[in-house]
Amino acid sequence: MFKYSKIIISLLLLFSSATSFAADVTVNNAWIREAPPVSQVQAAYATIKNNQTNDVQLISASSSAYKKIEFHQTVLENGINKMLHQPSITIPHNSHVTLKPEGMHMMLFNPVKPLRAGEEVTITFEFSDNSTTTQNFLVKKSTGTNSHHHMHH
Amino acid sequence: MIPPRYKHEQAKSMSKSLFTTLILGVIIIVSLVGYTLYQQGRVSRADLDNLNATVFRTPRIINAFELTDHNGNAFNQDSLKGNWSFIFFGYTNCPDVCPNTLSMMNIMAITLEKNQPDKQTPRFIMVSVDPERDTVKKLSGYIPYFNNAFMGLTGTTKKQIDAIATQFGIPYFINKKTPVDKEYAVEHSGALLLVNPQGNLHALFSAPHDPAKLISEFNLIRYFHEQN
Repeated sequence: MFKYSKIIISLLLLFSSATSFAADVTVNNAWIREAPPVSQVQAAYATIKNNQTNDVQLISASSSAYKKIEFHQTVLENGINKMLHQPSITIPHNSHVTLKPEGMHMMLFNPVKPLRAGEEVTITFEFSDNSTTTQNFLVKKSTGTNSHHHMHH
Repeated sequence: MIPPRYKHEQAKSMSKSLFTTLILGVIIIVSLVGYTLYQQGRVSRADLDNLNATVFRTPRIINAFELTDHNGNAFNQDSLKGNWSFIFFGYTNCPDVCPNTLSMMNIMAITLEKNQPDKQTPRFIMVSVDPERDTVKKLSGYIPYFNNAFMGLTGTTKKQIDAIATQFGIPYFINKKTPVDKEYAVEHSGALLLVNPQGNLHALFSAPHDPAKLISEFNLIRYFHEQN
């Protein structure tokens, strides 16, 4: 009896450490810009909403479709476009962060195979509270409109 | 006592002169409005100064440079003659700004072609600021994806790129973390440059870009240039 409970406890411990709980974070408008087949880099965009009462940091993103994913912020400084590498992205509580063209985005390195518009890619997000969430990103052709021009018209 | 008949004649002649005055007035007003409209139809130098674009008072002569296009053909300052050219500086390992700008340039090309079929559609060119990774072969697989008529230019040395970038006022910085870094980013100006059919640097459009605004400003610039 004692012997069995020990096994059960260790199994439970193993289970809890190996499986992280799902984050109370919702991801919307998740898409990847289709790139020319020779391209070794792409960008992914989405709106990430934190439904919790605490801020949370998005600390990593990974996908079997890419070698590596990094967070980058595009800035326009004195007319020069720069990409600033971000170790993490803070999603404020009860708020959201929008990853968009010519703004904050995910840089996707070395696609395993060229991806065509209409295909879907699964990306897993890991947060500072050890939670994770998995999201399907739709590959789309870019329209060339960017984040700066949505205010007027 | 003026006879009623004479009175009537006087009134008649008065109304006649009033009528003439009115006609004259209308003619003057119409011609004033017409002249104003004519002036508005004409693009003045002052109109060009009010654009987002910087239009050079005297288009700048482009000195010698020697690049290769994505089909492997030589491309130099004389290759720019004969048509308007929009030129953007970028690189193929750029995930966000460059594909976004090239897609926007495609929208411009399609719109100009559709709305002004009687005019020659300008050339759209991307000059690579990353000659080490952007070989002719790489560009040939990259540029036509955005538009079959677009052109990619590169060189084999940074010096070749500098020969055009410097005179166009385009700064760029290759951000290698180590000498063997293969994933480096290149910081570069987001400006679009406009070269006129005489092969002179005509105007500069600073980022961020709006294709509708770029098209309307380009039409004004072209119209003014053809008038003068």
